[in-house]
Parts: sequence; structure tokens; C-alpha cells
Amino acid sequence: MMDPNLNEHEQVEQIKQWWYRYGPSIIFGIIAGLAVMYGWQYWQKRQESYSANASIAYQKMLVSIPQGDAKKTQELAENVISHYEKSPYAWFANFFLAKLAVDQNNNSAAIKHLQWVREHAKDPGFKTIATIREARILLSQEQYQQALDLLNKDIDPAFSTLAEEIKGDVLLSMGDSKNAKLAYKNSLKGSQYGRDSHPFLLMKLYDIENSSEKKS
Amino acid sequence: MLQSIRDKSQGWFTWTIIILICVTFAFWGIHNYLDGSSASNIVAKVGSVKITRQAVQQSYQHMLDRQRSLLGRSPVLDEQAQAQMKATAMRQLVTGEALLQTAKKNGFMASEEQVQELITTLPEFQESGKFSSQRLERILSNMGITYPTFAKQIADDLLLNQIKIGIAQSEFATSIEIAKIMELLSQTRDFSYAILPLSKVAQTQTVSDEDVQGYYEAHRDQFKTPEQVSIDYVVLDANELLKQLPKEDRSNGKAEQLYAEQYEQLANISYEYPDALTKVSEQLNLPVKTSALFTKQRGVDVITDAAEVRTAAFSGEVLESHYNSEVISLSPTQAIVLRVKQHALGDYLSLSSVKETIVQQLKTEKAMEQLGGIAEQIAKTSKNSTQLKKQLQTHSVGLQTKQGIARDDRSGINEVILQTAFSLPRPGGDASIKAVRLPNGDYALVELDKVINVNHRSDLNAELLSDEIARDFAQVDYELYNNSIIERSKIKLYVHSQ
Repeated sequence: MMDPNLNEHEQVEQIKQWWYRYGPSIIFGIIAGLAVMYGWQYWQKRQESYSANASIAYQKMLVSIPQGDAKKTQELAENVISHYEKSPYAWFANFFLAKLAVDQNNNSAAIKHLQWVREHAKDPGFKTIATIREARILLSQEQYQQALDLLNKDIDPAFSTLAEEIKGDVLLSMGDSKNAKLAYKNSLKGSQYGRDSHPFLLMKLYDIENSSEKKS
Repeated sequence: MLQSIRDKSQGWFTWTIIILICVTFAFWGIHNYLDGSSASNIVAKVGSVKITRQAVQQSYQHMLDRQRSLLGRSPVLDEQAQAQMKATAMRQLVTGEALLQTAKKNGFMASEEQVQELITTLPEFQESGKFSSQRLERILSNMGITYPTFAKQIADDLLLNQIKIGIAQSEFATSIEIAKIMELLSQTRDFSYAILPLSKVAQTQTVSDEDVQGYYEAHRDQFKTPEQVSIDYVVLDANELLKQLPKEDRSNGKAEQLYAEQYEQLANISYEYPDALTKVSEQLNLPVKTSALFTKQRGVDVITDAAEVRTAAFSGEVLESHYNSEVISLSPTQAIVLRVKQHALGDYLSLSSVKETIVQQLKTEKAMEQLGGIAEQIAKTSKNSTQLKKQLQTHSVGLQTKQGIARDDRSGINEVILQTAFSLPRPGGDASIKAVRLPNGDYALVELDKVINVNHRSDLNAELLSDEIARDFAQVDYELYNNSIIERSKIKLYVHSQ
């Protein structure tokens, strides 16, 4: 950019002109760069301390469980949700609130908490756990079709054996023992690790009538 | 750093410890795979994290140690069981790492503060009821790990536990589930059974000399006197080390530290010089001892009585490749490395001396096959009780009837028959009949007559049952969640020929 044929004065003039032209953008660029960098660091720090505090709040709730004070556990779980709704610990806090609600025969509250996890959890595994638990509660409320609808959509494939078993439970309650048996058998077929020794599933399967099985 | 927090809250964290403690040590060693990972040493990769052979070996050793402390003695494992356990160790490492990576991606986190508080409350690092940082430093240096590495392990354990407990403890049982299981556990069944004895069929079998000859030749290795080996070995003994220490050093952990160091050296030297024990013997000043010949099943002295010593001596690495064995811990204070000195193959037995055994064996095999065919045929062709009785009559056996039998009946009914009666479907359009082989080779035909739903048994407690159902679901949830993570993660397994 510097022309060697120009004299000193002309060179200074040229630098000045250059600076008038580009200076503001350069300064703006540097400031913007620093702002982004510090902003990013600040954001990360905040994110980190948000997660760390959520973890501490959740741990506090876990520790209250063996003490057997359901009310305290409930308060601590609600605390996790109200302060750290965007953290994954809120998913677990809702799982615990659902459990406490089931233990107190408050099925509709339990369903609400599980629905929240189903809609908010980013991990398909936790989503599916919430879905299956919700279906089980719907079954105990005799809302069979709703339960089946849940079990037929959005199930993480790793959980299909469990979903099939619950489907069997629902179908049996609906009086469809033929398809219930099929569902139980599907569940058994898909199980790899230790599920074969799962006594309740086998007990349920062996309790179903032997309707012309030998023909098939 | 730890000093400053040493007197901090002991309250609610103590509870955490109770929940965490078992699992904390189950995951021990997950992260020791960061060092020295040449390509041939890597057995798996989870994302970009490498899992080395040493990490698997270490985790396998921990599994053995845990079994030892549970059983109060060394577990007896053949080569297959060992390989299985190593596979389990590897699966645990891979799963643990995959779980961790997913957890962090999800936004789960263990803060430095939590980790430090946890460490100060672990009973391992307490001296007279208080956290001692000297004790922590001593234990860590014995284990050969630095504080940051250790803190990372604790942080990882904490995370894994938050997730495990989050899934498991939030499980429940609905009222309908409890009622259903209650009903199933209370139900009794009426059933009949008949036993077709094997001995009767075996007597009628004929076995030709050619069959015997053929069997003898096909199974020559079965008819041998047992194979024997003798071994050379060195023993590292913490009590011997203690005696060599000056008196003032005996009670302050020096001996344990020395033992840990020498154990490490024993492992390294015997691995680096796999073809002899002389190097180990010189460097650690341990005499090479020699045993008499012994078989795989039976030892001849205190050392060879240990099942893991015999398993090692007869393993492929030691027996066929003539390498030194790995270090075997006989007890927490005693370790041994061995190599085979002499290998005596068994002698073949003559046909005439084993003929009678073979004849019996063949008769039993033939009878079992024949009897199984008969039993299955009867089960298949009997449409109802009358037909079943008729068919059984031609074999001159009768049906025995049992009524109102509970699942956990203790009146002396054969366990297999009882289980079969409870695994038959309710009789509906067709009779519910099944043939089943009993442990002694006899066959039983079991017919389920009736399922009776009685009132709830008085010995069933609804609350306990509810806990058990919830626990059962919890276990399944966690297992399936692990499977889900494994399926979602980028996992590569490397197979190396050894």
C-alpha cells in the first residue's frame, strides 16, 4: 500500500487518509471481538454455575429420600424445577414428583409430571421412561386406548421389550387375551439381559388361557 | 485446599455416602486408561476416548477382589469363566464411559465443590472420625494416582449415581399392578403328573462292539489319566516385607506401600521378561520355588491348592506359549507369578479297561433319546386327560394328582415338575400338557388341570410387594437405558490376536 516513489510528507498523508477510512471499522471490530469473547466466557461461566447449582439442589433432594419425609422431598424437588427448569435435573425432579403422587393416589398429578418430562426431556431414553410410566398410570385409570396410543408412538427402540409388556397388561385388561399373549411373547423375545429371569412377566404370560395353541 | 473444607458440613452428605459408597468403588479405575496407549493396547473406543487393555485388566482385578471379599475366598474360575468376566469388565467400562459422555452432553454436572465435600466424608480417608488429608495423600500415592485424577473419578461416579438413582428411586407400582401380582402369587394350581423312568428303557438297549469301538476312538481324549504339570514360582508376601523393615517403620503404612510398589514391579518385570523368572527373582530378591506335579483338579500343596493357581498353570498362555503367568493375588497380602516347569501328558487307557463305562454311557444316551421321543409324542397327541391316561397305561405308569398347590410348595414335589405346572398355560380349548426332562434323566408328563384364584395370601404384604415391583421396574429401566445409550453412542471394539 506504500508507494516508495512518494516523499515523506505524502506518505504520512496517505497513512492518515487510510486511517480515516478504515480506522473506525478496525476499532469497532476489535471492540466487537472482545465483547463476543468476554460474552462467551461469561455465558459459559453462567451456564456452568447454573448446572453446578442444579446438581447441588438435586443431590439435596436425593439425600432427603432415605429420611422418609415425603413432604420435604417434594419441596426440594419443586425447588429444583422452579429454579433450574432448563437443566436436565428438572426431568428427574419431575420423575420423583410423579412417584410421590402415585404413592399418594394422585394419578392426575403424576400424569402431569410425566407429561412434562415427555415434552421437555432432550434424551430419548428419559422421554421413553416417562411415556411408559404414564401409560402404566393410564392403565390403572382404565384409560386403555390412551395408554395403547402412547405405547405405540415415540418409543426408543431399546425400550420396546418393556413397552410390549405394558401393552400386554393393557390388552389383558381390555379382555383381549390373545393379543396380550402375543405382546408378552414379543416382550420376552426381545429381552437379552436378565429379562428372562424377570418373574412377573413370565407369571403373567403363564396365566393366560391355552386357547387352541397347539393348532398353530 | 482440602484442609480448608475439612471441617465443613458432615450432615446431609453423610446420607449421600450411604447411597453412593458401593457404586463409588464399583466404577473405580474407569479413568486409568489415559496413560501409555499404543495402538495394540486399545481394546475399545467410545467417541474419542480410548479404553486400554490395562484398564480392562484392572477392572477385572477389582471384580475378582470384590468376589473374594464376598466369598471370603478366591473364586474358582475356569478359563471360559475368566474370559467371560473380562468381557463383562470391558462392557462395564464401555457402558460407563458412554453413559458419562451422554450425561455431560445432556447437561448433567458434578461441581468441584460437591466432589471435595464427598471426598472429605469418605470413611477411607478418615482418621479417628475426621477427614485426614495426610491419609488421603498416602492412599493416593499407594495407588499411584494423582489428586486430579482421583477427583475426576469421584466426579464421574457422582454423575453416574445421580442418574442411576434418578431412574431407579423414582419408580413406583400402581394399585392395579400390585393387585395383579398379589393375585398371581396367591393362586394355586391343580395338576397331574406321571414319570417315565430312564432305567427301564436303558435296560432294553443293545450296544454293538463296533459302536463301542467307534465311541472309544472318537473320544480318545476322554479316556486318559489326567494331565499334570509342575511349576516354578515366586511369592511376594507383605508379612515377609514387614519383617525386613526397621521396627519404627512397621506400623505407619510403609509395609503396605512397599508391597504395592513391589507388586507393581513384579507385574512389570515378569511381563517384560516373560520367558523366565530369574530376572524377577534377582531384582526383588525372591527365591524361585518349585512344586511337585499336580492336575487341573487337584493341588499338592498350599500354593497349588488355590484354584486360580491351577487355572493359570493350565491356561494357554502359560502351558502352551510357555510364558510367565500374570500376577495372581492369593490374598490381599500375598501375590504369586508362576511358569510351567514340567508338563506330563496323560496316558491313554486301553479299550478293554473302559469298555464297560462306554457301554453304559451309550445305553444311557440311546435310552434318553428314545424316552424323550416317547414323552414328547404322548404330550403332543393327548387332547385331554382320558387320552393321556390311556397312553400312559401302555407304558404301565399312572397319573398322580395334586390339588391346591402353591407356587412355593414345600411338600416335596419335584422342583422341575412344580415349575412346569406353573409355567403351563391355563387349560382352555385344549388340554395343557407338557413333557419335561428331570435332572436324573427320567421324563415327566405334567398336565395342568385347573388354576384357582384364592383370596390373597395372608403372608403377602402389599407394601413390600409394591417396593418389589417398583424395584423390578427400576432394574429394567436402568438396563434398557444403558442399552439405549450403547446403541446411540459411537463405540468401536478392537479385536487383537494375542
